[in-house]
Amino acid sequence: MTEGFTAELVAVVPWDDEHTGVTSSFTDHPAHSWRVPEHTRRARSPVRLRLDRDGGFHLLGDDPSVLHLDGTGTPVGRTPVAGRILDYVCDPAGGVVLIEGADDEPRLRALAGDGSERWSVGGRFTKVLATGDRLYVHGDPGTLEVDPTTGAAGPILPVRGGEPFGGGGKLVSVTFDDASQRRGVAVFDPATGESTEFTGGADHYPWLVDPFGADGRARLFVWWDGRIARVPVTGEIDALGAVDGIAVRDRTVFTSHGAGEHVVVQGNGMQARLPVAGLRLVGVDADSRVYLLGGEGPGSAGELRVYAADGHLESSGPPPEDLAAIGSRMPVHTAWQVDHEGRVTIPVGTPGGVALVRLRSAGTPIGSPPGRTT
Amino acid sequence: MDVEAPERARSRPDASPREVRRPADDGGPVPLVLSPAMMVRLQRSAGNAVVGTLVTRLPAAVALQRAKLEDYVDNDPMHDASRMTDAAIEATDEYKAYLAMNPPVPLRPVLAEEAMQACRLLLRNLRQAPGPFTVGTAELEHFLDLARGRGAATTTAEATVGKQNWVAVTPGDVSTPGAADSDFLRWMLAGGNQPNVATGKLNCWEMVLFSAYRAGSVSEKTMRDLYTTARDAMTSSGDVMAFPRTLERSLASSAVQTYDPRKPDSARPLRGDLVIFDELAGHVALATGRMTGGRVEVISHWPPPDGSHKVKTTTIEDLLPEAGVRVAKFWGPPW
Repeated sequence: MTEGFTAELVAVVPWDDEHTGVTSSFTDHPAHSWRVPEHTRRARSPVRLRLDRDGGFHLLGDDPSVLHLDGTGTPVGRTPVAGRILDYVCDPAGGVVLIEGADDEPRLRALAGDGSERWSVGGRFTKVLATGDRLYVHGDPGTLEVDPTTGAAGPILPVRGGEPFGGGGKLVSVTFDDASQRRGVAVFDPATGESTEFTGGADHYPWLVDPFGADGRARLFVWWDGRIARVPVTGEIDALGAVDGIAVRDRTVFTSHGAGEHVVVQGNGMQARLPVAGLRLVGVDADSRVYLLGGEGPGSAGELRVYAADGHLESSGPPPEDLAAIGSRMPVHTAWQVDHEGRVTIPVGTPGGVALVRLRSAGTPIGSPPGRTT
Repeated sequence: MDVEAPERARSRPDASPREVRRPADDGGPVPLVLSPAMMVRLQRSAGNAVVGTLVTRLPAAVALQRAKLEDYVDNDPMHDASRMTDAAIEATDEYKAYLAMNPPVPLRPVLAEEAMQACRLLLRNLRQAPGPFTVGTAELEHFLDLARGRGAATTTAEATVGKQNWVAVTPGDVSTPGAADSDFLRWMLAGGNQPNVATGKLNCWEMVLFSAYRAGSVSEKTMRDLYTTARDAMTSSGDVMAFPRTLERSLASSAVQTYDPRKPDSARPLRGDLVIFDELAGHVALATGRMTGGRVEVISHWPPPDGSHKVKTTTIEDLLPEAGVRVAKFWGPPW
């Protein structure tokens, strides 16, 4: 259990299995404009993840297809896609709506599970989202509802603030008031046309920089330097926990977070407080040795520390050239997904494949999501 | 309405005594005075439109107190060049002096946004200078030139959004530039052709330099001198980081400032500023001077945050987590 969370493994999707896996190319880590070979390591490219309203998972790697998994993490199908995909959403039947070709002429395309096109419309779109049974697209000039069967767009919705997140059938976004220089949260309910909004104070300002999702109660999930909080439109800041690194060994999830001058590593019923700051967990081996990495930058490959199971430092030095072979890679918060229950699912790149790791915060279940038929 | 009598205004620390209009001593009506600080407060509480209306329709009994940019040289973070309101800038003598340059026939007229930008650059310089300096016609013209040059470079960069292709540059590329992926590097150091504006391969800072060059803000010779100096520094020191770090030092013409998106009173980059993520070798973007949804907009040539290798419009807030840093540095470039 990590701070405030229970971490569980949903599935590990293997790399490069044409039937049940996902393809990912290798990339430079870190990826700077000044690439010094001695400071650059090989890592897996991130894999994108989307959730559907029934709890299914949909992965998009470098191969031109979306891999569909049901709520247990079992592969149930694959939809071929093409082009550069800026954003996408999926339905439980394997249908995909995506924004393609964002560089020049973005198009919103709806594909059936077999990849055949249902409809396509052009527009300056940057984000597509679904909540309940309804589909929305955001871009210039704003947020619109789109008919999922025809692609016909409705009028611009009075959604305030930046890019919205769908939650509980509502659209949730961060607002910024130019006159008062304050950030807040706005919730728009398309079913009623009603908007609710609050303008935050000094406490909210730093928390509302990095939103990444919303749950079934339309509570915004936000990230701040490895910490996660939930902010409802009533304004409370519910700090849920912290995680800055994840590793998976034998289907057991380990997490790390910073705590002052220490790194706390948790998992499998153990907790270790290691006396080092600024590093994150990237691996736990069969002998329960803990691998921490950090300090990568344009002029440094970073430092890999290996701690024995009893907590003593075994080794310290630059990481090996093939980081992908020994370490996990947790994507930045923008790749995380929040489901109806407020669980955060993170697609973690591991040596064996993409681990779908779900963080569950303390709290009561919300109930059935809107539009779900049971 | 926040209108105060002179005596009360005089007692405020942010109201310079020399600017406070003296009450009439001839027994006539005492004019009310709106100080710059009052105007700023009024603008914050009532908005630009109200202040604009007020400025143009002031009754005779209410005087608008003039100000100099120098009056905002203090430790108040909200007097940073990026945080002053348009209304406060417009109330300064320097802004009015810029507009008074019109009509400059046959020269180019001073546009309002140029005057605003020049005032902000001048204010930043005043606040960063080790001591006060006199602002005369030469200084006004200098900062107007800067505003125009940086504005043109930024406008050119904005026009390349969706174009060009990002590539990384390596120490090996600098040592043997003829084999480099970067068209810009080959142009600078290996006698190659100028990059194609639409399809050329460049890294982040090369996009910025190329935009400034195309806008006429920096010459080809200057850029080549920068590259040659940086290459020599790398070669002579044996330090592969000497190339980008020498470039970084050469591309700064104002003090380093920091933008922290989690601090409400943080300074923000001005249009045309270089925005640095960790260091130039990490990532560099170009500030547009705009805020979008409370986020600081930049033109960036780097795959994050969307994976596209084309030039893109994004925000500092979107790039910080990808760069693995909490704050961005920024400063004015030499053009």
